[in-house]
Amino acid sequence: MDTQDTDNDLMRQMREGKVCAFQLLYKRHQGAIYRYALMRCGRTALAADVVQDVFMGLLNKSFNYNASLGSLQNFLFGVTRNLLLKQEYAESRHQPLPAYGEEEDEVLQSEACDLSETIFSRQLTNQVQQAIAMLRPHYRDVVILYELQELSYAEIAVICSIDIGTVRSRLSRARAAMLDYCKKLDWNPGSGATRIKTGTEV
Amino acid sequence: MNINDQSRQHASEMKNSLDEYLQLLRTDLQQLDTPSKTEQALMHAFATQYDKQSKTGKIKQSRWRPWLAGLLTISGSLGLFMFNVILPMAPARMPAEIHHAAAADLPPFIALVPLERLDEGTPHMMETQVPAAWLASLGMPVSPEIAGEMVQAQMLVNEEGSPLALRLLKN
Repeated sequence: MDTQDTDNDLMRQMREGKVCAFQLLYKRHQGAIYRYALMRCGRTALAADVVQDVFMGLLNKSFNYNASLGSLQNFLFGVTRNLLLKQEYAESRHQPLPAYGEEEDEVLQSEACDLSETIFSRQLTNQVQQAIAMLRPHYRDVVILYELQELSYAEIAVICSIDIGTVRSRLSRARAAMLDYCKKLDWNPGSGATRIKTGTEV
Repeated sequence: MNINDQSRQHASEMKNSLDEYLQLLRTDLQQLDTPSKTEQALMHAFATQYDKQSKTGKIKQSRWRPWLAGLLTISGSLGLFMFNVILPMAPARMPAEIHHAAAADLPPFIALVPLERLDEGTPHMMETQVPAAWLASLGMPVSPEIAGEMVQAQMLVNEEGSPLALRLLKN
């Protein structure tokens, strides 16, 4: 039995009221969804809330999952992304407008620059986390889903509702922007990564 | 090595380093899970929802119960009525005319034989015409003006055809 069938079986059992099926579905997918949400928004509390909303929607059938259209995990990624977009939209309504000329400086950088400060802090990969957090949300999406969740271009295209060519171009531009960001802050990722790999800086 | 080569090499190193950093971040992230309170909240929500659903189902069932009981009572009563009242009145034993007459108020039968004989065998009812003078001989009040006429009557006869009881039908 492959993962897809198992997820469908668990969904059916969950709708019949079997709590263990729901629990198994949650344990199987919560990690990936949480990590995506966390990297996307940079706030542990909001990421946890989003995970809860995603599974609550699955529970009370607010989200209409159709197994023939794709895997449950990708569906959940899509729902998570939509919830985060909705959250960002709500928050953006309370942010001040940028000053004249500010927008032209960094095309890929997010207007929410304090994300890097609020994102969870881990010493080893703090720099790359900051670089990801500086990206605009739609570039951050493809970086997280491709580089960290290891999804294919096709899966990302479905989740983000864009075509594969756009996924490729966004990924390429996002990586270039991250490198540029590292250069601007005069980081030396090569030496750092080498030290981490050899275990001298842990 | 000229400046262009150096910058190209540096860019390549940066890209590789970025990949390595992303790999490290990926490994780090694998250790992260949703806080346990989220799971607790979801399990509580699940229990609440399905408890509510089962209660709703029970309420729906209990709403139908009185209706179902009433329907069963009515159908049972109807069945008993048909079994006890309508079915014994077979059309062969009760012609349409007699049935029609029975529906109206009719006078009681007048016994023509001792009561003991009425209980013997199964009497049949027949409709006939009898002379009014014969009724007078049985002690029934008959006007002299119609003494020569025939009057409509219902008669109970035994299996041999002998009259057991009689009553007059209204004209």
